[in-house]
Amino acid sequence: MTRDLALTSVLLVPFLGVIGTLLLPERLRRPFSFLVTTLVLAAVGALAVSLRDAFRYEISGWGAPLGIDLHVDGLAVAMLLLTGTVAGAVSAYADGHYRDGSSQKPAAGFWPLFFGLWGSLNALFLVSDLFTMYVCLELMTFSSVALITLAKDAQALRAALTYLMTALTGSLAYLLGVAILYGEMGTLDWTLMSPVPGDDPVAWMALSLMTAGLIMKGALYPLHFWLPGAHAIAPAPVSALLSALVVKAPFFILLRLWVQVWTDAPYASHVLGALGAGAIIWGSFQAIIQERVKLMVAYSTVAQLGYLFLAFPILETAARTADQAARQDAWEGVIYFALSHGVAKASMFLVTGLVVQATKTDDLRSLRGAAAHVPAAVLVWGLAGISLIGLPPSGGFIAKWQLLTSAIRFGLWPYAAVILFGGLLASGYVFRVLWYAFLAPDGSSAPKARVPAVMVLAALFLGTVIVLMGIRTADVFAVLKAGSPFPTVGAP
Amino acid sequence: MSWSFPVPLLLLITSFVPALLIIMLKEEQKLARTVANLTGAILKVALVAYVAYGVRLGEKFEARFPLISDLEMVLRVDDISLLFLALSSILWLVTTVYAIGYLEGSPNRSRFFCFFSLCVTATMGISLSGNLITFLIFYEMLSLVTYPLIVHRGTEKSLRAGRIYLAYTLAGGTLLMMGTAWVYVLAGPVDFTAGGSLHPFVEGDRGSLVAIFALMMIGLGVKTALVPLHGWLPEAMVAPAPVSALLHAVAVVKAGAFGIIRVVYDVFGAETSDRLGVLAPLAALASFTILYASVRALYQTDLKRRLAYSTIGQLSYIVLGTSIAGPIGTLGALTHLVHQGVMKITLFFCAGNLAEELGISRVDQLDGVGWRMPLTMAAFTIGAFGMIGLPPVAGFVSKWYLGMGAAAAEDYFFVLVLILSSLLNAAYFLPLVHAAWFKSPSPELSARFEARTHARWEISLLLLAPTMTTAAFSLLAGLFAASPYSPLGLARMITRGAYLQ
Repeated sequence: MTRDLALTSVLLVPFLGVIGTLLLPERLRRPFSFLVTTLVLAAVGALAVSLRDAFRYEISGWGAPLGIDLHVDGLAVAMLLLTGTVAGAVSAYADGHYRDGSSQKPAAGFWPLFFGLWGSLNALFLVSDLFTMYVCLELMTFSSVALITLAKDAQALRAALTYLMTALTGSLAYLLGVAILYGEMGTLDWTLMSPVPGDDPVAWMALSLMTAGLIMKGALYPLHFWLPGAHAIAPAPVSALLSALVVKAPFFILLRLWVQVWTDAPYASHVLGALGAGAIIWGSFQAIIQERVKLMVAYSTVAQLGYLFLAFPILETAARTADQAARQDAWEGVIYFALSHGVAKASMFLVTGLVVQATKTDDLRSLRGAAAHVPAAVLVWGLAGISLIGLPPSGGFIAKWQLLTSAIRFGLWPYAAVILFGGLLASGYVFRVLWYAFLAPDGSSAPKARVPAVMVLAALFLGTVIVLMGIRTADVFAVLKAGSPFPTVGAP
Repeated sequence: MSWSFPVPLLLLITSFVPALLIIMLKEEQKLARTVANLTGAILKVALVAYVAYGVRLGEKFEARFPLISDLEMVLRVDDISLLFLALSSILWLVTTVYAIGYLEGSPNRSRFFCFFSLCVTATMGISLSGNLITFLIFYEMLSLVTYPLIVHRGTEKSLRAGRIYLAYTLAGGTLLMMGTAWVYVLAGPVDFTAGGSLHPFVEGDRGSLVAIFALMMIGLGVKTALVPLHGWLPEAMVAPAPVSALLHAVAVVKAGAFGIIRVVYDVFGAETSDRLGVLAPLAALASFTILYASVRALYQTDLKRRLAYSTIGQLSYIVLGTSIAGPIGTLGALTHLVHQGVMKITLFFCAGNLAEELGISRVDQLDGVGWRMPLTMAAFTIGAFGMIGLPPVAGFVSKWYLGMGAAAAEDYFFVLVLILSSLLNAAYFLPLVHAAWFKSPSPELSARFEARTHARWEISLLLLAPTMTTAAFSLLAGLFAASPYSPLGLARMITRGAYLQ
């Protein structure tokens, strides 16, 4: 039962990591974190390789409704893979970041919180009932808030508090919705829910509450106000986790709800789509005018999250067409976008962290001459940038191609235009950074400190993943076929 | 899958691997870098020769990789790609030698040569593309890897040029992507085929087809510098001379022109494009570009800028030939694709030599230069005569077929455009040639001439030899145009394929 062992390890080992890094003495902490990270990555890998079709797993054999069930399908495993890739790179980076002798940083707090976050994300992607998802969301939020406060200054505390309050409001709305839904449907397992809310106003209210709460936690425009502050103030490895993974979790639940449970909601999906379009334009515009790199990257997250919400009108239209290949294409494109954005955004924050560590500031002008001083960082920034813009060879290009062809195919022309225009806006901020990086260095640029090699390697690793995602697409798409809501009948 | 499967990949690898090696080398490891550069470039020329031989024998070279669902990445060699492959691989070898000499002792050479090699990789990919998505991928990659070359000097001015370049090319790329996606939705994953594959849709989806054509022509027209999409090209002149030579002869602008040829002949098909009635507006735009650029060139005092406007005009000859109905215009367009490359690279090498040796960058500083740098100016004269279209230089041959094509299609207006533009070309090139050979230098210039006369050659051999080589090519391509191995001979073969459907 390799599969079950892998599944259990994915769920439990990160929490062992939490306990271990809290209790073990200082000198054992580092080898232990390394061991835990390796084990989780191996388990995720084994799970991805062994996945043939979606399956259910009952924890300790209790079964629903008493116990907690896991639902493992292509979407869940893809999110686990993303989390593993980003978390693996971040752990290597953080190791260098917190051991760098030049600065006294609180390393002790990082590791338990890091593993807590990883574990709660893994659990969230696997569980099949909406209440356990809520528990995981809360666990994830608390880890994130605590991670932001590691920056240890008043501004960080303020940003963390805003984030906490917003996230709690969102969670409460979600929980209320879940409770009402339980009363209406008699189950919390999304795979067992009746697919048609019909005209039942109570069910619709429950859905609206849940959606509103998740949008708030997922920072969809115009509820994104908390995100730039929180993501920009956190230490670089934390920002990478927040922007690449944490904001994807609410989106993941929304995808389950609106695509896999209730497919027939044209108006609601277009509202989400319109907000997504607004996010792309507003977020990109804000990113372009920022003077600080970390804020720029944070606003870029706001914009890129907008693309994810274009998924809802596209998938809603897809569900009503007969062309199965087209439907599967749209589904894969949406998930692939989430994956490629995760990797690109994580590498962008890590690279920014590298530059900040070298120059002690994230002012855009301090990047002057970076192409000569830290060429690897500029290279990875470029790769992440082309993925965000949607240029080849990168995962972002493939995802954007899928979204674009789907939008054209289903006649959703305004969304097609927004997808393309958003890419141009993204090039505005990506190349604004490169503009400074390529300027010949002058005397005024700050003295450059050396950064540990492992941090550079972590960023380069993610850069390589971005390019591979643009070339070796078939491997990921094979995973996504398992348990897709739009199965292709007769496909090999 | 035949035994020759990896050959198209090898063509990419011969410049991609050197790029990776070079970026890992240290700045001062000059020998290793030069070896990596030249080995890759020479291997590539040899491979292209081998491929050309194979194609003559009827061999198929193709490599396919799955990309997204039913979409594949297709790399293959057909007649048109062979033409572009030969042009780019040979000129690349020459330009690499020139660049090694030109950048002697300047900073960031590793970065420069890395992106230089990536640039040829992308160009190779463009010529090998067997369908639109592959073409799009390499086309966008080319835009990106050229950026570090344009901003190489790191001055405010070059970065401004880089920004303008990006704004134009990324916007163009976006439109091209839209067009490509639309074709995919309409017709599925179609390969490039002579005669096109969109004819079944002419009746039902006429509007869509016209919109796709317009999107693609604007997208490709940016790199081809069709007026009013040409703004980036004169700005990009701030790049180092080998880069401008490259941009103008093979890489960026040719990628656009090559794309237009591919879209018209292999996606839409000459006949379908004709039936849609989209060629006439394209021809009109090309004619306007030719005349407008020639007039603008007259007023440029900076030598490189004058050459840049000349490029804009010359490129539109290719577009004009493509959009004139009938095989003779096609023949002219394909031949000019090669001839213009060889001649324009010669002119840019000369401009680089003048700037490097004598600090000359303006057209009014050329008085008497011919006697100080006779070989360079002889090459310049050959290139200029070719641009005007004087026999026996290569430019005459392609212009002749363009004119014949227009006459055969009974588009006498285009014949007039060609004649008028030749006159304008003469008006902005002949005074330079005249000044170089027949005027005596001003005292200030003579002093400059005297300043460095100790060397054996008029300029470093690394700069002189490439210049002479491409000048010789320009002459030979014109003199031996009738040979089946000349650019004209190859173009004849392709044209026969395109119209015998």
